Amino acid sequence: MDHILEVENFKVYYKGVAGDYRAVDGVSFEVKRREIFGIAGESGCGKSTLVEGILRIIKPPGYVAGGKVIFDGIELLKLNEEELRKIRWKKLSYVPQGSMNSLNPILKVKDQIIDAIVTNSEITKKEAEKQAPKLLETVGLPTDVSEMYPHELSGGMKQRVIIATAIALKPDLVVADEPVTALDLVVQRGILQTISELREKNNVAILFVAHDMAVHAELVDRLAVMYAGLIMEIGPVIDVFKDPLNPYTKLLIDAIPSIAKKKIKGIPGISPSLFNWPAGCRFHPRCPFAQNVCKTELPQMRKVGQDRFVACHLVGE
Amino acid sequence: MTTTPLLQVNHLKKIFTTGVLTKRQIKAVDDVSFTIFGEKPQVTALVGESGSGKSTILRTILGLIRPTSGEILYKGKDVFELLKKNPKNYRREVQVIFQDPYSIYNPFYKVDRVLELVIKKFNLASETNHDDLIRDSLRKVGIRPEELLGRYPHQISGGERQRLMLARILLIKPNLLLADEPVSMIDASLRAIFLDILLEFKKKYNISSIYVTHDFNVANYVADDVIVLCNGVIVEKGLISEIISDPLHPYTKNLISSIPVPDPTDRWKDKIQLKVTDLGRRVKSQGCIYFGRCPVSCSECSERNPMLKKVGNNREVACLQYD
Repeated sequence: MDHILEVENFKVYYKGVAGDYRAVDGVSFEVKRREIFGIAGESGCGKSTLVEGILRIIKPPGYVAGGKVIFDGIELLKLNEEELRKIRWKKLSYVPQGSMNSLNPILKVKDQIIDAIVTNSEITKKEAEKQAPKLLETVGLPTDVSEMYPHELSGGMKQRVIIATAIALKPDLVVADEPVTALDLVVQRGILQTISELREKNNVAILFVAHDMAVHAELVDRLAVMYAGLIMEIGPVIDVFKDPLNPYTKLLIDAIPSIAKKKIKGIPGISPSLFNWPAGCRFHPRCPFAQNVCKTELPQMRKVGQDRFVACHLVGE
Repeated sequence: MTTTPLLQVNHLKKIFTTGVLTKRQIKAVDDVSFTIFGEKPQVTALVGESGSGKSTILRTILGLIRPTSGEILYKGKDVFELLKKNPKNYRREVQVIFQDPYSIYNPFYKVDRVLELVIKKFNLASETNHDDLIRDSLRKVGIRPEELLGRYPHQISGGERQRLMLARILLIKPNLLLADEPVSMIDASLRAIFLDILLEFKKKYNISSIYVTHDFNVANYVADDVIVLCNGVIVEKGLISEIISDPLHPYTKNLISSIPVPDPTDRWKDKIQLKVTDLGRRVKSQGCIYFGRCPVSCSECSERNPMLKKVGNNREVACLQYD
C-alpha cells in the first residue's frame, strides 16, 4: 500500500430548499505515504468542504452524497462514530482553518497538549506530560513555551502549538486547512519550514489546503487545482507550474503577482456560484479556448503522461 | 519655485492606552514622516507586517484617529483644521478604499445607492445625466452596468463589490486615494484586474495613491515608491524596484527573502531560526526597534536609536550599519 488516502468520485452536497447544492461534485485523488499533497483553488471552490467531507465532520445541511474515501485500507465512510473515533487523532489528524485562535485562553500550552493526548489515547497523564516539551521542540518552539498561556504567544507560535497537538499521537496523515493564512510573511515561512521538516522527522503525509499558489510552490510535492467543486488538474508541483495543462491552471499561475515578474494578467469573468454551476466544463464561460463541446459536456479526469491528470476537452491523449 | 506637496506627514506619533486600572501604552506609530509630492501622480506603498502601524497611519490621514503628536498637512494645511472648516471638500479630494468588500454595504439597499449617494452629496451631476455618469463609471472599471445595477450586495461577488468601490472613486475623482489592503479579500484571478484599474487611475486621471499592504508581491506590481514599517517606525524607504532587488535594512532583507515565489524549482534553501523575541514586542524603549530579532545587531543597537539616513540617491534607511 503506497497510498495513505484514496478519494474516489467523492461528493459533498448542501441540502437546500430548491434541491442540493453540489459543493464538491465528484473528485478523485490519492495521497501517497510521506507525501505533501496540496489542494489549491479560489474561495468558494470547495476546498474546505472537501476536507470536512473526507474527515466526516461536515455539518448539516452539508452531507456526503457519494463516493469512497479509503484511508490506510479502511473505508472511512462505512465506519460508525466509535470506530471513527479510534482513528481520529491517532492515525488521522486535522488542523482546521483559523484553529490557532481556538486555544483555550485559561489553560497553559502544556495542559492543552496533554489534554489532547489523554483524551485520544491510553497514554497516562504522567507520560503525556513528558512528551509535551518534545512535541514543542519538533515544531520549532522553545520548551519553556509549555508553561505559557496562549495570550503570551504570537500567531505563528500558536499555530505551532496547534500543529504540535495534531502530531502528538504520531498520525499517518495530517489534514491542514489554510494553516499559514493570516500569518505574517516571515512567520509563514517558518511554519512552512516546520511542516516540511515534520514529514522528514515523523514520516507523516500531509494534505495541505491553501488558496495561495506561491505557498504551494514552496512546499508541496504534488498539487491538485480545484475550480467550482471539481479538480481541474493533478500533477507534480514542478510540472504543473512549468507546463500547466488545464487553461484554468495556466491563467491562475499567470495571475499571481510576484517580485520576480512585472506583468500579470487577471482572469476575466467571475467565479461561478455553487447555486448554479455552468453546464459543460465549469470554466468554459471564462476560458479563452472554449469550444462547442466545452459548453455541453463535462470533461472527465484523464491520465495524461507520467503522474499527470487533467480534466479538459482540449488536452490530447 | 517649489509647489506645496500634496500630503506631508510630519513626526506622526500615536499612542494607544489600554486597560482600566493598569494603563498600558502601546506605541502604534512612532515619529513617522513622509511626503507625497503629487506633482507627478505616484503610488506609494506602505508595507509592513500586522501591528506595524500601517493602518493607523492611514486612519490618521483620513482624520478618523487623532494623532498623539505630529501633524498631517494636506496641500500645506492641517488636516484636522480642514475637516473642521470644510469637511466635504477634504472628503472629496481624499478618498479611501477599505479592505473588507463585505462590510461596506448596507444589505437593505441596492448597490446603486453607493454611487447615487456620492453624486448627491458632492453634486457631481444634474438629474438628467446622472444615470449616464453611473453607467459610464461602471464600464470604466470593467463592469457591465446592466448586470449590476438593481442588485443587492449579497447578489454580487467580492471582486465586483471592490470594483464598484473603484467606480465610486472614479465618480469623485479625488486627488489622493488611500487604499487599505483592497485586494487581500478578493480572488487571485481577479486581483490583477483590480490592480490594473488602480494603475489606470494614476495614468489617466492623475490620482496619486497610498497603498497599504503586507504583500510585497502586490506592492511590486502597483507601487512606485515603498515605505517599509516595523513596529510603528519607518525602517527603510525608496523606489520599490531598488528595494526589492537590493534591500538594505536587515528587517527588509528578512521580509523580502520570506516572500514565497510561485516557482517550485526555486524554493527557499536556507532555514530560518525562530527566536522567542519573535513575540514582536519591543524589548526596551530605547535602541533600535528591530533589536532582538536582528541577526546582525551589536551592543550599540540596544542603546542608540537609529535615525533615517539618506543612502544613495533615492534611499533612506534607519540602521546603525549605515549611520
